Amino acid sequence: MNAPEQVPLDEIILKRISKIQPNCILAMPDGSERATSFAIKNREHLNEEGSSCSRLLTTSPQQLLALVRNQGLEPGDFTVCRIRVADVVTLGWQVVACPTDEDPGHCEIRATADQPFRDKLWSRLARKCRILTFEEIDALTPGDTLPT
Amino acid sequence: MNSPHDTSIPQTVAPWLGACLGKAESLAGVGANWDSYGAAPIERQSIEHAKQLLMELARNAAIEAPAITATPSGNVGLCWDDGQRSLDVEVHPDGVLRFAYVDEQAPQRDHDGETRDGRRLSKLLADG
Repeated sequence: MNAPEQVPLDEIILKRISKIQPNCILAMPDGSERATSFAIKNREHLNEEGSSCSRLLTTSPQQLLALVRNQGLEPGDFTVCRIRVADVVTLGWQVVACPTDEDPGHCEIRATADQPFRDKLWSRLARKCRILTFEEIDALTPGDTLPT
Repeated sequence: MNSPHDTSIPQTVAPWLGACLGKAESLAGVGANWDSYGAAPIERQSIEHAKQLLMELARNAAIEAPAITATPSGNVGLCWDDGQRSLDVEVHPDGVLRFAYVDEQAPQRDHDGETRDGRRLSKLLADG
């Protein structure tokens, strides 16, 4: 069996974040907004091996939001945060590409043999997970870069 | 001492308590998959324990209002972040408080764990 494809360090990955009830966005003292650690971590009650995300290389924020219609949910109830793959790897974890029919950009944040998931690491990662602005969500297309 | 279900607000508590109790209560009825990634519905007992914890923390004037959120496992989540330090607390239905503390200026102080004692969290928030 081939080893899973590692998403390159310089890539950005995206995750949908609930913004209504419950609100999973934290307003920071400097005016920015970030995701809560709970919003980005793996779903332990589902015995998930990893936390589902999508590669900006392949999936735009608008596409990521539109996918919830397949679940009977409203895209307007969600926003998107960006996660740098480099920040994930710095913690000792990995980002693995696992495309699906629904989302060819689907990937997962996974633990490694050397570094299992830890709550304090999710908290540390979440502090770097900036919520995209309305303008970014509207304008970003697959393959675009994000300076910050 | 308040009974387990007494949520009346004592007079000498932080002004944010009433609003936070309301936000915690409003999580009741949040159904499954609220996050679009398979999250569990919010547990009633988690809400009750969260409200008790909020009442305890509100007695310390040095503690600011938390953000009230939820966790994918169906528990109430409380978050504090002053820009340098953060504390995330997941309130389990059995009263266990699972927490993670991060300090950007002193990463060696990062730690996580579980407790049933809200005073431990109160001390973290007040003293760092």
